[in-house]
Amino acid sequence: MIEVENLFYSYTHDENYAVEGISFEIDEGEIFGFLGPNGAGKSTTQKILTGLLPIQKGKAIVAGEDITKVSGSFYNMIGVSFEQPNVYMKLSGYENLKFFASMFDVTTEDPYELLRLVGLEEVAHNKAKTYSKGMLQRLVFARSLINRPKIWFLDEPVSGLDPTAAAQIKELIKRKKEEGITIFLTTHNMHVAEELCDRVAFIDAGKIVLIDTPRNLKLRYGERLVKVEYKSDGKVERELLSMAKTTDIEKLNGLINSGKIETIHSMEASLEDIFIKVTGRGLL
Amino acid sequence: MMFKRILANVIKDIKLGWRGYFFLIVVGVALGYFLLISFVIPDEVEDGLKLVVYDKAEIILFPESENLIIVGSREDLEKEMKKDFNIIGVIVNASEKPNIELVFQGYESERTKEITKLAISKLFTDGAKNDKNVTIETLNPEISKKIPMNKWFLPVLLLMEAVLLGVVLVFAMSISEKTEKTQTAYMVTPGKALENLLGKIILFEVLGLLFTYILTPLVLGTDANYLFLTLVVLIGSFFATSFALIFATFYDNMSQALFPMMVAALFFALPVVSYLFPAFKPVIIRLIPTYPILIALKEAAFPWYIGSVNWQLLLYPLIMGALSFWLATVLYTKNARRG
Repeated sequence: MIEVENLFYSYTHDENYAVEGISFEIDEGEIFGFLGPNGAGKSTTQKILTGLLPIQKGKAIVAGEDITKVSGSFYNMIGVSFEQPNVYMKLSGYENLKFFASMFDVTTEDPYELLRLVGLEEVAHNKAKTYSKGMLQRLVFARSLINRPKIWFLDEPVSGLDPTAAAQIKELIKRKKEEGITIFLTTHNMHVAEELCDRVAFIDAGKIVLIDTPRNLKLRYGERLVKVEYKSDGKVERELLSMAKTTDIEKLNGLINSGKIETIHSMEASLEDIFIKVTGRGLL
Repeated sequence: MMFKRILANVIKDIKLGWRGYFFLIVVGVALGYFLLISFVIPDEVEDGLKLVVYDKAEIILFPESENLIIVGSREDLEKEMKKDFNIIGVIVNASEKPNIELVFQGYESERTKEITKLAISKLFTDGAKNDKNVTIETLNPEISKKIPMNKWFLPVLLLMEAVLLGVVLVFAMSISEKTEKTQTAYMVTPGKALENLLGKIILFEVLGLLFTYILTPLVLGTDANYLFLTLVVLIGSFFATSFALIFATFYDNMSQALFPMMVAALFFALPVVSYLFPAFKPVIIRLIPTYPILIALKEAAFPWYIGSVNWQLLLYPLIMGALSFWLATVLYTKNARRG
């Protein structure tokens, strides 16, 4: 659904690249996470793939269209949710969606239905300037679905949302994946990426440093440890046991059989740990 | 589809304009100007000489005139001068030859002072009797009809508000969209920059016509050439709004834009100087597209005075408007993509 080959982009039109030679492919119906810290090149890549920035060097095909020559029909196929709440503040949520719906040449969603999906039906006719940051974020998110996109670009979709709203949005993303929508998700939130993405790419300083499924990355870079807390002689003991060592495995079995264990946690590496390990820097 | 998108943009911009009180501002300003024209600016300014004379010598036989007041003391003369700021004082001192003292208010031009001196000299030589031998003929009697001074200002007000209103309000609207970053959201739809900007152009055309159709009938009744007036306002507003849209792409907030916005509005208002002083029309002013617009507004407002309308006046602002609009769409696209 998306093919990117050796993509370069420089805002200063010199060798100071914001995106430097990145290549990847995304299959239909896949959620692909683009993970990296601020300034890594995530937004630039998304802007190129949505036709907002021109290709300077390399190749990108999105939904079968070479994006050096995007037309209006290209935008009928994609939906873009921005991190910033870029809506008309003097229009209501409903009016915002109605206006953007009329820009497309394809059958669009019912604005009320979308507002209901993101929990804004009660404030559908209130001006957007009265919305909270989270509500505006949900409105932008709803707007990106107005044209029933085949490819959905999401930039930090749960940023600024409370846990309930974030869970609601994540459920909606999963549902859209089940409907066969291809999703390009840009985030620096490792939990969102872990929970939603089929594959993730780590981008740092404009270059992709790793692409794989979260599970494979954890297996490859994580240590298989189990942290247990158990009672011994009336005291609580804590221990890290490696699943790669026979002695530790036997000890864990013994603790389980004795029924002394109070808590037990697998200690696989998080995506953030792996990112730090690979790039030497954090995600924020 | 293009028509559907233009219509959606027009409806959106009209809603934004309405909620930004643009319509209220236009109606309020039009009514305010009507009150100004009707009750503040006079129909006519006395351009003849009005004198108050204190003849100490009592030797001059002044002709009877409504522009001449005879007083018996210097104090009375000063009192009269304080009552009417257009009046000039004349004191005839007692001596063998009349010795004349002219008392001016202080703001009279050299020309007025010279005319006063001449008129007084005439009074002391042969009075007004030779006037009986002077007849006045006019080759073009239509031209000699005078446009009341307050109505004379109407084309200027139409230019400033109906045409240039777009300059100020479009800055406000474009900067608001930039702050909201809605242009970037728009660019990921099949909507074109041209369709989006046409929405704004049409909004300001509507506002310009609203202002024109409130103020002009109130001031001129049915005397104006409304067909031509409509066309002038449409083309003038198209040019001014398009030009302002170009400028607006360079600024990100109102505080940045305020100074260039005022400079742009003042620049486009420069032809008003040539309108008020017709002898002053250097090439630089005639090249400003608002110059032919102002002349066309005058022709549309006072067809009985001008005689005929010159449709060609609109060609230059129309071409400049089209070029500005094209450039505005290019800059809009570039700017919106930059995000």
